[in-house]
Amino acid sequence: MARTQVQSRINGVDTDFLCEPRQSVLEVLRDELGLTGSKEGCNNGNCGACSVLLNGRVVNSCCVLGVELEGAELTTIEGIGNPDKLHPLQQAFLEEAALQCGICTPGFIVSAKALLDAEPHPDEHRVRFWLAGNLCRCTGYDKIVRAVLKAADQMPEKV
Amino acid sequence: MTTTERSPYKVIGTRPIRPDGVEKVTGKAQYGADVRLPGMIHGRLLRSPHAHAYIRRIDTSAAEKMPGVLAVLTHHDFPAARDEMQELGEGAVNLKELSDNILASDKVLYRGHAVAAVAALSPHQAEEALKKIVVEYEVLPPVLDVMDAMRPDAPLLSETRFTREMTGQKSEKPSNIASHLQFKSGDVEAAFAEADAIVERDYTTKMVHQGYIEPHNATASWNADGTITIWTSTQGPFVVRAQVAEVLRHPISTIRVIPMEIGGGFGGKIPIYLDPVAALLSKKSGRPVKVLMSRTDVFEASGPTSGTHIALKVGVKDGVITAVKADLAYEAGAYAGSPVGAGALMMLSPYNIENFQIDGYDVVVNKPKTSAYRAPGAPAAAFAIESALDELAHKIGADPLELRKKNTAREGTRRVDGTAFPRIGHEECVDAALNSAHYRSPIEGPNRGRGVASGYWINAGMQSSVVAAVNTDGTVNLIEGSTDIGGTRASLAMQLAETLGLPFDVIRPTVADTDSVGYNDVTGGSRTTFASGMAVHEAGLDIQRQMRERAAKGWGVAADAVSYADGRVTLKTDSETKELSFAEIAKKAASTGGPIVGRGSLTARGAGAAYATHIVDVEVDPDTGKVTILRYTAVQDVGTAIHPSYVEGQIQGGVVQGIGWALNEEYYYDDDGRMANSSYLDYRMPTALDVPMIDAVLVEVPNPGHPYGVRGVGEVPIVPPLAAIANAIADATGHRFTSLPMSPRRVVEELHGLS
Amino acid sequence: MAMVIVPAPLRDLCGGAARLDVAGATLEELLRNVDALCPGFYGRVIENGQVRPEVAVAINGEAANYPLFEPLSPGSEVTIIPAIGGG
Ligand code: FES
Ligand code: FES
Repeated sequence: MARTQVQSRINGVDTDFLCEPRQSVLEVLRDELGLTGSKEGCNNGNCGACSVLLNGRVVNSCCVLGVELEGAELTTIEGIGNPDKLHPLQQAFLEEAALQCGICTPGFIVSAKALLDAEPHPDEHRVRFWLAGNLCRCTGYDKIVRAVLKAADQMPEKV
Repeated sequence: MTTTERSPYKVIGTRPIRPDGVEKVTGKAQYGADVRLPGMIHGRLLRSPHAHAYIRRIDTSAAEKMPGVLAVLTHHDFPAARDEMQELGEGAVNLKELSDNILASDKVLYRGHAVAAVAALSPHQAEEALKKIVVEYEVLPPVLDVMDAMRPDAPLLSETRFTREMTGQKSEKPSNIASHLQFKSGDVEAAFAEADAIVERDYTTKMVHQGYIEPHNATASWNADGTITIWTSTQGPFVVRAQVAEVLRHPISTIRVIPMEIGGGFGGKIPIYLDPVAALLSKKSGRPVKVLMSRTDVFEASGPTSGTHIALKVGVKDGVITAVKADLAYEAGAYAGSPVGAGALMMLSPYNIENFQIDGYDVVVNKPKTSAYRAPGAPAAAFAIESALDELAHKIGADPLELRKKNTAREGTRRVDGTAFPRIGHEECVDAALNSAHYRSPIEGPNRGRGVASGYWINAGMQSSVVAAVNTDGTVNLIEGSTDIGGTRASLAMQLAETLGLPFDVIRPTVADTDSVGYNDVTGGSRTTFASGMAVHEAGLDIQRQMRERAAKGWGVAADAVSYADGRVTLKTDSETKELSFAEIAKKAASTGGPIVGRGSLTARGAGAAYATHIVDVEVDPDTGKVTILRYTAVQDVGTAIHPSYVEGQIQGGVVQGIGWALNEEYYYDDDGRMANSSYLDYRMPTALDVPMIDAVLVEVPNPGHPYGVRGVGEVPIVPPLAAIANAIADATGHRFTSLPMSPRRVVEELHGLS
Repeated sequence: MAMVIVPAPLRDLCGGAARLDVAGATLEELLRNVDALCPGFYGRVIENGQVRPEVAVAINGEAANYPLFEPLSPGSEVTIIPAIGGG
């Protein structure tokens, strides 16, 4: 199948890639660009393991086509924090033991970041509502919700 | 919340950040599907659209010519499998059934049963090629429900399966009932005749899935020298190795299994599905091959747990449970091997009951072969007995927890198989529940109710093997073979740190491949922190001994003149005290005898059973049927909590799986045997919005069978929720639900008499 | 003397007895001695020198992969249960 050239900006780096029109952003990230931090749990928009920020909005990357990234700005888990300076969410997930197997963790952190970017101080219900698109089968969500609330405590007031 | 004495430990009981944590929160950790190898291609499987059919012919010629296709595979490529049982890691498997379940030979037994495989340059090319494979089926009527399958006129999955008794007797005619088992004691009929109150009901549960978020995966390279390397997400790399060796008839020593990070398992990632397929595709194509399941594949063709039917009769006299009669029928799926034995053995284990007869039936149906799911067999059995006890408590006007306390099993009580319990913690759990703030608080408001239930799980020991190598800078590399599904690198490193009297962060744990560490049984059966922890402790003692010997040599005294404590070796004489720290001895290893390496290798005994008692408050919307969990408290005897956060996490996770099982989850089949809800949209697992915080109350009664008192904690939390929630709904509505799931539709139908 | 708890389905082999006090310093010896009293019992538990795959031996309540030479202390309780798998 003919491949299309796409120009995008991924995690702050101008990124050109070739992809087939039928490939999803998730496939492009994982199979073409080697960015395997975004996970596939269902490939049809129901688990959130593949969550990324597309122009600042959280989307399921399995449900967006690679060609739609033309001119777009994308942030994946690889673009959030780094081992020297973790994002407050990442630090809170570690301290609160908010991951067991960890396969859902990138999606939760990406999704929760979108929430805290927009609303730095959500309450528990708001966190649960926002994260309802991300499935975790290990933790029962208790510690994930606590981690997000803890990170929110450390977010600066929005100006 | 923890109820505990002051801890004698320095590291155990603290909550350090797990060693593999940073990799996992930054997306760097490598899970099975993340494997990328030079030249790697992609495999996909063709699956049966029918639930029950003979395979008459498979024609792969058109698929072989499709663009990008490098290899095509059917069952003919597998070596002939022997029709015999073999112990291959966890539980015995029939080798022919193992092979047939991976790629069907003559018959497909469930929709989604794999029949052929393709490897191509891209996943899409592989998928295109699958469409070109022609399979001729002779379709047979399927049998989908356990009770239907037991009828004498039911379609047979196999003409050569007879009902097996423990006596060795077999049924005269072939049957879908693969085996029958029985536990029996006392005089049940006489006890019922004298009972003050009796509850007699049928309980049903539907087939449900473990629901791990990561689909199954396997990447294999058939190397030029005939060795095979497999990268996969598994609970047991050594089980994968043993099973692949059997299916492919390949020497076990030439297979190396590299366990990748694993995205959940709960028992479902013990069996193999893809690994031999990837290996043979690699052999045929000369390339490494990665094979992934889709979510639909996972639902239709991995190993969920049994749907069940339990006919139960329970009698009480003077508040004492005097008689139980139970018939348990469990779906095994396509091949024999449901967890009915565990259900029957554990059903009554929280209690002391004199007269009982429990019969269990293992029944094949045209659904995927079931595999383990967290406390396999126990939740459905507990749903039945704990619902019945609740009803009895109401009948005789007793508090449901008081009834449980009055009848509790204790040290010396005999389990249904006749053996006496050692010290157990059920009564402590019931007491803690009775005294909890939750149970003492009132439950008020319309359509609200409270339920309680207890649960038991036997826990496993099995084999573990670790090596701990001391580095010259005083750190220790801990090489273990238990895949880390929920924080066991941390719980094992903590036990080694404790044994050596070192801080947690000088221990670097690594999960090694099957070439690099001794045999380890699966991460399952709630065994890893317990059994691998014992091996770690043994390795720590081994290091202590070597350090004492070296220090003693240097000081010119006998090794038993020196002692090891708090990370230092000490020589105390009347005149002086000499000391060497762990790091000082480590630094001089080269000149004092070479590397210091400790090892621990054992079959762990003394696992000790786990008990839990749960309390839940619900609100039922009578118009929509929606059940809201208002509050949930889970009390559990956890032995010693090594890392309390991960112990709480096991409990919270198990409870929420139980909530899903109780309220929404089920395999929904049409009459032709097609699963109608094989996506996360329609197989509705709990989301963050569906559940409240889960209050885990850790009762710490140290297990005498473990150096640090560890007791397996992972499985029992899923045992009580089904009944606890049913009991709460009964309290809220006055209606007793005996069939799961108690989904909005069922709740509305039953409450309004519409079903 | 160890106590053998006879599983319900095997009681017919043992004249209906639910428990037997039998001598035996090892599992093998014990099962052989039971077999002398209840012909056929040994073969229901052991096959080719191993515990049959579909059952498990429990000693003092703990099911494990015991060898036939597993030593038994006086007063041990031995029974046979269905094989159990964990998740
Ligand atoms: S993989 Fe995209 S939502 Fe599940
Ligand atoms: S930690 Fe395993 S799915 Fe969330």
